[in-house]
Formats: sequence, C-alpha cells, structure tokens
Amino acid sequence: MSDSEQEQDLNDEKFTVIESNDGFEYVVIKSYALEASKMLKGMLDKESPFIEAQENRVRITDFTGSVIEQICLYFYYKHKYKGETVVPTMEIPVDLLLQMLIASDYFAC
Amino acid sequence: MCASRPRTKIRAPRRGLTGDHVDFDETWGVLAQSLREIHSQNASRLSFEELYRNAYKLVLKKFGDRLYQNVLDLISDHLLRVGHDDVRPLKPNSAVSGNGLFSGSAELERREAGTRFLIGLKRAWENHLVCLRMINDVLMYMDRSYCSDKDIPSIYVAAMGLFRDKLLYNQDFKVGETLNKIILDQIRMERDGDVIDRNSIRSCICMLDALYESDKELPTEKLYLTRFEKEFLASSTEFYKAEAEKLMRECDTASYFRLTSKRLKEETDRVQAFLCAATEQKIVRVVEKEMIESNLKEILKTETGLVQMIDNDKYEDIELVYRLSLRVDKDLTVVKSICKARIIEMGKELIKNLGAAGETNAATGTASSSKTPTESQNITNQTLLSIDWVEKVLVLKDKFDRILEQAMSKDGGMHIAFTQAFSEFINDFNRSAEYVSLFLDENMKKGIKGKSEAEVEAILDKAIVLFRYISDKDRFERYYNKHLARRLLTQRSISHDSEKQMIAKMKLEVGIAFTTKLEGMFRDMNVSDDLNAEYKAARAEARNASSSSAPKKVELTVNILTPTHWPSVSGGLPGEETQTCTFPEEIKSIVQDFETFYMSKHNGRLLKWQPQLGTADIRATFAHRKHELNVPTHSMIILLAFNDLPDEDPTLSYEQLKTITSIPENDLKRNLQSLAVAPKSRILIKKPMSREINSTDVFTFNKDFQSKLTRVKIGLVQSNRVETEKEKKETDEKVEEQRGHQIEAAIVRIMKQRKTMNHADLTHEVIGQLSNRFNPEPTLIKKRLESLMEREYIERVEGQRSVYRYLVSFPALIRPSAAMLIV
Repeated sequence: MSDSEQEQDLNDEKFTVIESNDGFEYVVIKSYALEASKMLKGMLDKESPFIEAQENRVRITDFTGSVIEQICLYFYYKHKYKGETVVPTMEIPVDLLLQMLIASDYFAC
Repeated sequence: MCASRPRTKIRAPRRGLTGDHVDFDETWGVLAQSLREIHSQNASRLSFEELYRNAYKLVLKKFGDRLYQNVLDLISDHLLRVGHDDVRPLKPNSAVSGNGLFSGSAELERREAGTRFLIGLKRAWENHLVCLRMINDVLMYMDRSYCSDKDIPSIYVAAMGLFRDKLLYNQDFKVGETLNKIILDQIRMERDGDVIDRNSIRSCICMLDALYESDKELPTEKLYLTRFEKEFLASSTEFYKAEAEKLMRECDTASYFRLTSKRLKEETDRVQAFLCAATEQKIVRVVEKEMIESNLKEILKTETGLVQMIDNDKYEDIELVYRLSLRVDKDLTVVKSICKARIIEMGKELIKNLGAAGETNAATGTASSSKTPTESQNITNQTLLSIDWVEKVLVLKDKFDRILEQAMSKDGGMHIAFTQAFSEFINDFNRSAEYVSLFLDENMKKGIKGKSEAEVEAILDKAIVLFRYISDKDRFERYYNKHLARRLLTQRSISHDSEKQMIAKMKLEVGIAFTTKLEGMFRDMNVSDDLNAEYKAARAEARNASSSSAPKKVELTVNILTPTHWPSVSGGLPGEETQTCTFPEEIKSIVQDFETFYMSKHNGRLLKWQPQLGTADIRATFAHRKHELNVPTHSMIILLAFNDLPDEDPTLSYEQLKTITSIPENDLKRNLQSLAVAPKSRILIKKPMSREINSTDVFTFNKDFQSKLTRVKIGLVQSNRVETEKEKKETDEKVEEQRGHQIEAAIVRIMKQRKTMNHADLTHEVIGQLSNRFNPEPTLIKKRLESLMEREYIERVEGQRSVYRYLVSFPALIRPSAAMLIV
C-alpha cells in the first residue's frame, strides 16, 4: 500500500493508528479494532468527543510495541474467525504471555 | 524443562504500569477536573486514554470504592446545580398552583410556560445522557471489575438513579410533580383543541420511560408507569366522565357516537405521537369505559337512539354503534336487546294494524249492507290483509337484513338475535302459519305471473325464511296442504314448476316426511292427466268402432285423488262423509263408462265420486245470446234438472230439486244461493225474492239472463281465504289431535329403542324429535304418556317413579287407535 493511499484511508477513517510507548505505530482497520476492544470502541466511536477520535490516533502509554503488535494481530485474528466454530489457536510468543494477559484486560478485549 | 525451548522465559509485566505507587488524591484530582470538563461540554481537549488509564490505575490499586463514590458525588453535585440553576427557574407558577381559573390569554401563556419548562428539562436530560455516556466509557474498567465484583449498580445505572433523586424528584425542586402537571395540562389543552408542542412532551416521556424506581431497573418499575401513567389515566377518566356527561346532555346519539369514535382515534394517535405504546390499550379502555360502557344503555335508548337509527335506515350510524358497542360488550347484549325489542314492536304493530283494519272493514260492512255478503266480503278483505301482512313482514325482514349486511358486517350473533325476534312475534301471532300459506297461495295463483325464474326464486326464498320462523310447522303444513289442494283442483296454480320448487325447498328445510303428502298430490294430478288422455283415446276408439255418429255431448275429465294425500277440501275427508248425488242420465252414462274403464285398468280399487270438488262448463241458450257457464258440478246438476221441464210449468220447488238431485242440503242451498241470489249470476229466478234459501222456495230458469261476458263464472269456486273463527277452531282442534298422535308415535319410537328411560330424558328427546314440526308442551307429553300406559305400551318401573319401561308389544295389544301411530 502506498503512502498516499494510506493517507487517504486514514482520512476516510477506515484505518486508525495505534502508537506504543516506545514509538512504534500500527495502522489497523478501525472497524476490526472497535469490534474487538470495548475500550477502543468507547474511545474512537463516532460520537466520542475525545481528542483521540478527532485525531484518529491512539497513544497507549502503558504498553510496548511488541505487545501492541500482538494485540493488533489479535484484532485481525478475531475478525477473521468471527462466527466460525473451528478456530485455530492463536500463536502468542511465550515471553509475552503475561503482558498480553494484562493488555487484554486493559483493552477490554 | 523441555529441551526444545531452553531459553524461553516469560517476561514479567513492566512494573511501570502496576507497581508504581499511586496517589489517590492526585490521580482523582486529574480525573475530577476532566469529568467537570465533560459536564461543561468541553471534552474535545481531553484524552480518553489518559482518563481511562487513571481510572484503571485507581481501580487496580483498590481505590475502586472511593473512585465510585467520588464520581457519584461529582455527578450529584452537577445535577443539583443543573436543577437549581437551569430547571427550577423554568417552573411556571401557574402550573404548580393549577387551579384552572385562567382566561384565554392566561391559558396561552400557561401553555408556553409549560412548553418552556419541558424543553428545559429535556435539555437537562439530554445533556445528562451525553455526559453519562462519556463518563461511562471512560470508567469502563471500574464497571467491569469493581462494580461487577462488588455486585453494585454500574455507574450508568447509579447515575440514572441520581438524575431521578437529585433532580427529578428532589424535594427542593419538585420537578417531577410539575412535570406531570404540565404534561397532563398540555394533554388537556390538546383534547380541548389546542395545538401543543408534542416533541418536548415526547422527550420527557422518553426520559420517564428510561428511568426506574430503583437501581434494579425492573421493567414494571419504570417511572413512566409508576409516576406518570397512573395519574394520566386517572385524569383522563375524570375528563371523559365529564365529557360523556356533557355530550349526553348536548348531542343526539349519532353525534355522541361520532364524537366518541373521534376521541378514540385521537387518543390512539396521541399515544403514538408522544406516549408509550403500552398505554394505548389502557387509555382506549378508559375512553371505552367512560364514554361507551357506562352510558351505552342510556344513550342508545334516547329518542334519537338506536331505534330511530333503525327506523330511518341510518346504516353509518348503526355501524358506528355496532363497532363501538362491540368494543365494550363482546356479546352486544344491549344492542341486541334493543334491536330485538324494536323488531318485536314493529311486528306487533303490523299485527295490531291487521286487527284494526279488519275491524274497520267489519264496521263499515255492517253499516252499509246486511249480514251475509258482509261476512264474505270481510273474509276477502282479511285475506288481502293477510297477504299484505306477510308482505310487510318480508319488508321488515329485508330492512333488518340490510342493516345486518351494511352496518353490522353480517355479525352472526346479531343474525341469531334478529331471527329470534322475528320468530318471537311471528309465533306470538296465532294466524301466521295460515297467513304465510295464503301468501304463497296468492303468489302461486297470481304473484309469479310474468316473473323471471330468478324473481320467483327470490319470492320463494323469502317465503322459506318465514317458514323457518314458524315453529308450528305442522299447522302450516295443514294449511298449505289445504291451499295447494284447492289450487290444484281448481287449476289456479300458474306454474307447477314453481310449486315443485317450493316443495323442494320445504323438504330441504324440514325433511321428507313433511312433504310426502304434497308430492303425493302432484303425483295424483300427473297420473290423472295420463289417465284422462288414455280414456279420451279409448272413447274415441269405441265411438269409431260402433260407428255411431252420436255427437259427443259430454266430455269428462277426472282427477283421481289418493285419500290420504288430500286434505278435506270442504267438510271432512273424502269418504268420511259420503257425498252422494244423483247424476242426470247423460252424465250418469258417462260416469259409468269411466268407471268401467278405470276398473279395467285398476282392478279392486274403490272409486268414489266427489262432485262437490268439481266444476263443469255448460253452454246455455238464453233469450239474448248464448253463454258459456262455468259452474260447480252440483250447480250443473241443478241446472240440468231445468232442461226437461214442460214449457207451461217451468218451475221446480226446493223439495223437488232435493229429490231430483239428492245433493246434500248444505251444498244444495249454497249452490242455489249462487245461482239465484247473487246479483251477477242470476240464472234462476226464485220466488219469493229473498236472500235466504227456504224449503218452500220455487225456482224458474231465467231466460232473460244478461251478461257482457260470453263466459260466465258462477260462484262457489272458493279461492283460498282466511278462515273464520269457527273454521280456525276446527283446524286448531285437528292440529291438536294430530300432535297427540305424533307425540305418542315419538314416545313409542324412542322407548322401543331405549327400553327404559326416565321422564326428563324422554321428554327432552321427544321435544328434540318433534321440534322441527312444532314445540310440544310438556303437559301434553305427560298426558300422552299416561294414555300410553293405560294402553299398556309402557309401564312405570317399580320403585322408580320417574322411569318408564317399554313393553314389547304383541298383536293383542294393538288396539284400533294404534293404526294412527304409524307416521
């Protein structure tokens, strides 16, 4: 995807940017993220007046890029297997397991 | 440890997130500031993530309870401020005092003040919702872990409760009470025809619908239901009570119902516009109860009420009455009773008119001329009246059929009620069976002339409707038989097809037993026709064979009647009273000829002549011209007696005539009366001239008889007419007697099958079996039972007074009267 296109999609609010505390940025399809995380939903929902919704950019102060990356992967994973009965286990690096546990609680997903 | 993953190590979560010391006051300070920003609608500068993170931390560090409490406090403070600063000042004073003494302009002002208040409250509510949503989102983590762990209401629910307690029903503000008063006030204004701001009310109603009495949020505890709806229904009840009273005073029934219908529509409309759907039924019920149910009887019975609508065929009004009554009264008891009463009243009116007209006729009759013709004239008049009566009943029936169809959507219950009412008044009148039969007679003789098949069918169908109403079907049968017999014998029936159609219809109604005699009559007529043709052919042949050129002077047509099918036509069953007379020679020979012919065809039958039923056409030469006379057979015999008299003494005395003709005295007198007394057909001259026929009278042939017609019909050919009281009494007696036999037959039939049976069941069964012919009186049944016991058909079972047993009958037990039992 070219930069200009990406820019376009960001303006269209198809995508949103999630930024970690160590400076990594993840561009994800917004609807997938909102679907999975209640916290992001409250934050970015159309009616939300908060600054994140206006800028379409979320800064997560408490998690590093490696965790956010897994979280984003989870958004796509969840969307992909939505409604299916046979779902393969999502592989999560073992060293991140505990942090992922906390993150999932934080993101409410 | 597994060798394949030697270096894998679970990294501990970063301490930075959870491990740091968190100072509640500091963090709360930040949060509280932000929440206040939210309340003052300044959220756009706030970072959701920051708020979320702070709340998250506080909960994680076990400050959940303090956070929860602080947030609620903050919200309460805000709501109190809103209530104090924004909502309370909008409270209109008048609505609170609400004593209803306002002039027009004050009312307008009151309405606007009310609307302002509603809008203000609506704004406060909407703001609260928006803020609460944001706060709820931000504090999501608290709801999820703290509230659900502790099993306390979520912040959203609790804040809703705060809105209720701190603002709406805060004792200092009295916002809730004012709200109810204003809404009710506005609804009342709308009911009075003003235009109000429905939107603002709608928002406030939605608010009440979204709030609950407690944090449990039970669906039955919506504030709308607990605080508003009751009051609304109560005030509506009051309003409609007054409204109904006012309308009852001011309007006629039709407008009352129209207005009520309009009110119902308005209320439904109102509920849809700004109240909760669940209220619709309740408020409609209020209107129905106050406007219709409580007053239904009264309003329908005013002089502009249902009766008047019926009389004037106001279908639309009746339909409205029907539909609205149906709402409060599934069985339509009131409407039914009024309609029934009206039908019966109208029916009785017709019967009364009938009596009155008959009497006036009788009165004028006696005044104008002497007795004998008056009676017959009177009878003729009454016959016309009776036919007229039946027609009027049919008109009445048509009227109510139309009402049923056009105004009552063919309601089955109403149909039954109408039918009951019709049968009631028809059966209440003891001559209806006779009259209906006369009506049919009239139609069969004249009415259906020149009508298409469909029209005839329609008339017959109407007659069948009346037939259905008559409960004494056996009585009708008797009259119909009699009338039909006379129609057939005097050849007055226009169309045999129609006759048969009618019989078929009756058969369909009450079964084959009812019409066997009628059909038998037709069979007899057909057989007779064939027989006559055969006889004619045989005679012609005989004449040719004997080659005698004697002109055939007399032509004979005979109707062979089976005695059981034919009712007494004049005086007793044929054969019961043997009617003899001496035929003149020329007739006698031909009669004998026919008898021989008939016996050759049907050996062993007994042929009895019933000359009193026949007619004869004779050609007579008078001084001026020849006339063809159509006379009864008996008259013919009398006239023929004058044929052979010597010119010098062309007279015959009464006694002579009696000897020559040997016609029974009654018949002789009547025939002579029509020949010698009736002014238009005076073929004989009687001396002395008087109206009565006496045994001393002397008769001469009137050569100078004159008439404009070539063909003269002379008397006695009675058409069917109303019975005189005496005849009616006879008929009644016969009907009673017949009923006795039928009841006995039914009892025997039933007992034969059941062997033993108790009295009540037996009576019930007998009534059931006979109900399509007549309604047997229980006393009559009892009498017949006793008679049967006397004749040992049945006996009482010992020890059980009310149980009967059938005794197996053997021939010795069958007495002569048993022959009557075969039905």
